[in-house]
Amino acid sequence: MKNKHRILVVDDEESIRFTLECFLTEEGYEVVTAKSYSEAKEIIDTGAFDMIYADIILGGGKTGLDVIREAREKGITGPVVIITGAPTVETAVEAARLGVFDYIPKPVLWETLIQTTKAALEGADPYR
Amino acid sequence: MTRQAAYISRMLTWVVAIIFGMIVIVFPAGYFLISYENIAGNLEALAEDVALELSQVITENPDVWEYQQIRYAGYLSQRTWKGHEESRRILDREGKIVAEKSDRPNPPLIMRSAPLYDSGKVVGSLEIYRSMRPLIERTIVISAIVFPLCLGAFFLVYMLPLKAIKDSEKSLRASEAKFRKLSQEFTTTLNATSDAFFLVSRDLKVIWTNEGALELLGQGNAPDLTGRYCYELMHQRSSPCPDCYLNSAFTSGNPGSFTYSLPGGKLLEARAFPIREEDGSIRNALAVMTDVTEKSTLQAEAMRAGHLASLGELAAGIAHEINNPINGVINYAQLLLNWSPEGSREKEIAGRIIKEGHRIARIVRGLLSFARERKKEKFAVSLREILDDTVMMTAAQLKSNGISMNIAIPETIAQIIADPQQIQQVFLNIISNARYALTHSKKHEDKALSISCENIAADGTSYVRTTFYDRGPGIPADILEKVMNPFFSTKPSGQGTGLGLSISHNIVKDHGGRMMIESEEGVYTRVIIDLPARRDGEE
Repeated sequence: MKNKHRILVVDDEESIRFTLECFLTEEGYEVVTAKSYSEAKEIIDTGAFDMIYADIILGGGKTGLDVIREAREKGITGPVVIITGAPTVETAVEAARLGVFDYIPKPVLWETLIQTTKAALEGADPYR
Repeated sequence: MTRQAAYISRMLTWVVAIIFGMIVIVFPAGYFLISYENIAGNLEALAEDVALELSQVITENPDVWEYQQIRYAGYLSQRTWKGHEESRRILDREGKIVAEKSDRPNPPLIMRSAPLYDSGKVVGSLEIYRSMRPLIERTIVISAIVFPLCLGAFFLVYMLPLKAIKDSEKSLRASEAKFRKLSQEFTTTLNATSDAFFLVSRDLKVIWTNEGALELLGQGNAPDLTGRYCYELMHQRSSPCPDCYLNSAFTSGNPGSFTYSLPGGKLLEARAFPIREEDGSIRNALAVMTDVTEKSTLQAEAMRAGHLASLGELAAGIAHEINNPINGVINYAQLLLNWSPEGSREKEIAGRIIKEGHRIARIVRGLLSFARERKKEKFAVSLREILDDTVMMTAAQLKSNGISMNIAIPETIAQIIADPQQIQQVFLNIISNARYALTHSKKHEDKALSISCENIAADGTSYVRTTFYDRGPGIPADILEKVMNPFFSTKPSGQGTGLGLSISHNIVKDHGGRMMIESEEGVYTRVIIDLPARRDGEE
């Protein structure tokens, strides 16, 4: 069960970053967090990731969708999951266009997080 | 022509005709008579003069006077007026002609005689005849002149003024017809407007009304309202209202307006327009009343919608802000739960934190969905979901007021085609009314609100019936019919808009449903909402 999938979590909310990191680390994933688009961009520049969780609203006029574009430009093709406190049709359509794996409204719960991650990285059915 | 004018005209004709008729007759007749008297007088004097001279001749020849023909011839041939034919003759006592000289004057003749004396004794008479024809001819000529003159004068004095009267009457008739037409058009226009018009006198008596006024007072087939007092008609009062806007208009001479509601809940905007007479005084005023219930309802609904929208924005903003920390709280508790030993108190408490966190998250979701932009879209939706969301948003408030909720929704309940937000607004409104009623009820036990759902069929249509039942103070029978009217509220001023049930009723109607309220004062209130069930294939 031990794997070394690298996951990037981008969220401006400290409590989300901390708890998501804890949940995923406990499951044996290697987690890197970023609190803003610019921090995420630096991290993406320095290493590869198997999966990204990105919040929609990141402050500074940037969104999780910008993070996805950045990652795709850098050749990261792994699954991306958008998390949002304010789900709208517009962002969902844009996310789908960028090929996101899932679109989860907040609160992002432990069970949901683990199931989604497993489905994204190991092909398990997220809706089982 | 009016009867009066015809009478005057006829009288005038007679008077003028008699006057001129008299002139035509009297003038020539007068001339004739005076001239006749003059001629007769002259003739008589002449006869006496000539008889006197002849008497001298007779006195000189007492026994043979009858044979003095030559001496008489001179007297008998004398002519006083040249060209006037005369006939003179001397007669003896027996009337036998003694001597005669005649020009054969044309008849008719006028004759005057004088006695002939012999030493003071009558022995015969002298007769002088003269023709009347010249006088008759002059009289005819005068008549011939007077008649056309009078006729001309008759035309001048009578026909021209009469023509003027007729002309003026004709133009009067034309202008009367014009004014009648105008008046008809005016009345039709005034009757066509839904506004009510009252023309009232200074003592507030109705002089005239349009049909709108009859309709407003619900007296469509009523007889005349004229002569009745406006305060009696409008306000069922026996004296003028203390703040009468009509009285103010009479006093100030300026138009005034006033808004008030009728007992049935109708909202009226009344305007008063004083009518100035030519001398500047104000004897009457026109009161125009417009039913502004619908307009005000729309305005108030718009205001309320705007109010709700800004509340919605605020709620959405708060909900967003709560979403992140609550996600953190749930996740931190999840970590504690994961890390705590099985069966420990910590694990149990962490579980409770997560549960409460989920409650907050649900409330936030409910707020967000309520605040989301209203698109008024109808789609197939589960009534249970709408009710669940509504109950969740109101449960805490009801609980804090000591009101318990019993909810019974069977699994088999049908879906409806609806705008869930609007239906939620209706449910929220009804629950809020029940909460208010139960909170302000004098009864302290049995504070409960029961909500139940069932599938029913009526008039060949399937409905989903939602019933809200409370054992609160109930609604008095006399106001039960009015509670759905706009602006009708039993709450103290400032605590209710009086629009809640009216808007709810409109929403339900808009969904093809119906809303009914049953109540018994002091016992219960039951609000029933039937919404059409989704038919197979309907989306």
